[in-house]
Amino acid sequence: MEKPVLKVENLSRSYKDGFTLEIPSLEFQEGKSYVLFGPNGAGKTTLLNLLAFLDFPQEGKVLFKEKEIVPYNSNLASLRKKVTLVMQDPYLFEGSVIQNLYYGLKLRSLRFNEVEEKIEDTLNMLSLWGLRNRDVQTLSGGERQKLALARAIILDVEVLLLDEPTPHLDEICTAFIEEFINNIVTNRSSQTLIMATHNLEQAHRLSKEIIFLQDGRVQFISPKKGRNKVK
Amino acid sequence: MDYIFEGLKNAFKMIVGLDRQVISIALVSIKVSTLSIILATGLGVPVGFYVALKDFWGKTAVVIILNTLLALPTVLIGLLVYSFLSRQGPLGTLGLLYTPWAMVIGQSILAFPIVAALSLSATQGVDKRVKKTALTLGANAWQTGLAILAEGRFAIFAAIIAGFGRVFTEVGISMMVGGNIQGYTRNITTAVALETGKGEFSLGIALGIILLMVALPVNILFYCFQRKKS
Repeated sequence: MEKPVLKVENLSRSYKDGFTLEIPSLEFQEGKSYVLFGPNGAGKTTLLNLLAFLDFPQEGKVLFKEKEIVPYNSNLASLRKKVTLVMQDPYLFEGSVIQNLYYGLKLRSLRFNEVEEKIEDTLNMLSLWGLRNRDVQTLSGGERQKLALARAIILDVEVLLLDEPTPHLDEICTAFIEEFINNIVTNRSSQTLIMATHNLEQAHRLSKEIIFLQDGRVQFISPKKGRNKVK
Repeated sequence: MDYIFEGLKNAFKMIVGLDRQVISIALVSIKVSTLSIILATGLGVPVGFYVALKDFWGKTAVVIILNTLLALPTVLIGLLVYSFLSRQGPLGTLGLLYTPWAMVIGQSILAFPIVAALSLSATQGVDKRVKKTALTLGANAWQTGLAILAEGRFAIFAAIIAGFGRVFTEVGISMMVGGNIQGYTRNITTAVALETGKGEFSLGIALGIILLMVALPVNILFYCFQRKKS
């Protein structure tokens, strides 16, 4: 039986505004893609933050490869090198496109040749090569979104989390990013992809495994599977 | 009015002729204020940064105290430093009173809350997503702090410049703990006060012009950083 790369057990996370995310059980298998679907305020971003170890449950557990993730774990930074999140409204560091791509690689102490190769490949994959020296302040919304995606893709993480990757983008740009995500799913067999969207058509285009969230609870998982069933 | 024009004329002569007394006084100001701002920056920026980013018990009180200290009168700091450094004071044995070091201590105390409070505000002004972005790209706490510092660098630099402007133009501390000793602790502001009292307007005006000559490039630098930020 396959071991899940990420697992949620009896999770509960409440906020001051009264919102509570409660998930009795949820598993994400290695190399598979998942879509968290639900309306605004359903808890998609909250769940992604918990899965990215940026937030922690008040009750229950988030497990990465069977190990519970707890706050103030000295190992947290190295765990975060294996799981990355592209935010709905991503922040780009001041500087050029290349400087943004370089940030995560620098933290991983890669060799110069390797870094150069990765940057070139990633920029070409996302049609950003021509913009490599551009100041990020001058990029369009679509270009910024592509760069945020590129900055995460380049890291070859085990779990890639995407929070609404195509908000307010035109159809051409949305189609490009969706195709790119589908290519990742096809070509990176060991990478787990979890993406949040409120667009049902997009959810169907990007994954067969759709987790429907509403009011902080998993309503159902499509297609229904025993291991994912809400308890 | 004639004496003012006469003073201005003589002042320009002194500056152009690199008058030894003027240069000596200006150097004291520059050395003492630079050292003070270095010390205040070393302490103030980390304090501002820490208070801005960490949640701890008494944080509001610390912020209120820092903001209150912004209005600290220089004579009060002078009195405080004097009482510590005077012969009967707890640090009297160090023999620092009426030395440039006493002025450095006093000016550092003056600049610290300015640098700390403005750094705090600068750090709070950095986009909240910077921290989250750095963390999710694999940064540890130290690297995340550096990312936030890098994004807020222009505003933090502005805080340091503001601190420098304050210490460079203060007179109370320098007079009380420096003693205005010629060629040793006499700086621009204490010299201006002394010379004006003596009716020696030329030297006072010359020193005033030098004060502005230092303040002007500092403010141009400040403006450039602000423009770069915007």
